[in-house]
Amino acid sequence: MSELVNVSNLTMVYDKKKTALDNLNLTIPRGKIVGLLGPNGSGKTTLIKILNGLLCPTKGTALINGNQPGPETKARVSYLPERTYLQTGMKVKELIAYFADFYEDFRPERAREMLTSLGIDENDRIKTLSKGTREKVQLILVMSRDADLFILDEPIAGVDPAARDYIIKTIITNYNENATVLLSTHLISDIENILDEVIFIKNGTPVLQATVEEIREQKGKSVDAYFREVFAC
Amino acid sequence: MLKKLLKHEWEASWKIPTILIGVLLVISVFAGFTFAAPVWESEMHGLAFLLVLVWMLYYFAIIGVSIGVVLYLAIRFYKNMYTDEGYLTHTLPVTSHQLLWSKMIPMAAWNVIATVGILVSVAIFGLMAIGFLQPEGMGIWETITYMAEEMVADLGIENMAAFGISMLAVGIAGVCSGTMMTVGAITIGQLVGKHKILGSIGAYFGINTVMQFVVSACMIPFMFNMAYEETDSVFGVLMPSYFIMAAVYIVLSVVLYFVSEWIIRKKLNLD
Repeated sequence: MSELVNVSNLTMVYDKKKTALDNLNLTIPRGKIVGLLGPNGSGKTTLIKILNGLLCPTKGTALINGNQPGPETKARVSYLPERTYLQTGMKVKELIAYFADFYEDFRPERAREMLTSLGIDENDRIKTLSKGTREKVQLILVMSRDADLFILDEPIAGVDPAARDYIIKTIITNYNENATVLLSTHLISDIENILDEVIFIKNGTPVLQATVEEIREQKGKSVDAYFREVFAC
Repeated sequence: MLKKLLKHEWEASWKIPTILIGVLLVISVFAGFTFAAPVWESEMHGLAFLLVLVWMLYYFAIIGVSIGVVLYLAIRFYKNMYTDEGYLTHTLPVTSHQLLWSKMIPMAAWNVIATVGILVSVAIFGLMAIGFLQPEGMGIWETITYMAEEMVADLGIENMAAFGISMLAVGIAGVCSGTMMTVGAITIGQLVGKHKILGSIGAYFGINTVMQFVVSACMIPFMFNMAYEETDSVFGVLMPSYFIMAAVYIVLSVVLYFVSEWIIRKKLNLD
């Protein structure tokens, strides 16, 4: 089975009136960095939440490694949400122990290396860290796993350009070639160079799935320029 | 995985309840010392007022512990499961059953520990009072035995074993239902669009009302019996109703457990 993620007829309707995903079908291959791109409210986060088992779809299925979201998929998916989920009373080293306890693929030594390189003290409590540092700790924890699928929801939104570079470097250096990174963003120009494929999503429906090369060759544009054209208001 | 969940839950949650119970025990000793000198016989009104203040502090400390521990664990459950922290909790490779048990077991355990803490505190306060006042020239143990015998006689307890078993059944069922009402109400509240906290509070009062109604309905026949039968044993008449009450609590807890598990598995929607 070459596809890692297989989404079919996925529909999500909130409160019986707001359709976030509309009969969505897509597949995501292994070993790629895939950009899930779309304007605000296009359904990116809803799709990501369903893949992580944080939402139940109204209709359709989302399979990872052939499994519905559940304990088996969660053991193989490393998820970075767009918000900080760390318990503020915990120390960084306690979080490392927490991740090591629950995720067999978590590599504490890798996390410690990254923390050291960023000058973050393991003994610090999360509540004493700045918002930016908390986000970095979270990214380090997420990227210190040998997961099959990394799902990163807006990983570079709201951080300064230097941190942005660090995040992108971390993503590239910490995932293995058999793993897939699915990252959603609307800051396309910053991550375009690391993407293998893109999925454009609009009103809960994918309007394009192509490799970055295909877009550049066939459209004669960068992904960012093409995105602006497709989603022009 | 449940073991690991329990370990982390316990590590994260033990401090506040321990501090609360510790403070109560210190206050109970402090309040017990008020019996050392019979200040109520003093002509200085300020001293008597101070005494009342200390007893009130002790009273509120007991209320504070019983409510505080439940409230702290309820807030922790809500934050951990349904706010930003839920993004980590619900992406751990565990089942919804394991998640629920990992929250319910420490919650129930702390309910029991807090109850024991309150009983110990009352015992400290009572023993100090008896020790200092020495009623009717009796020793501490003589006084306790006398009071226990009086209570047994007043309640008409003829069978101590039955009394013990019925109290244990009601106690266990009470801990289960108290825990599940908290967990269930917070979880049901998540179904209420943008007003989830209000929904949880509403669900709590709703469940409580239903439970009280059912329990009262079950108690009515026994109340009639007590009113029309001439008996000295109030406990003897009411005892079967305690078991029914315990059964109602347990049934409600089981229903709430499965409703909560279903909501987490099928209706989870973190904002």
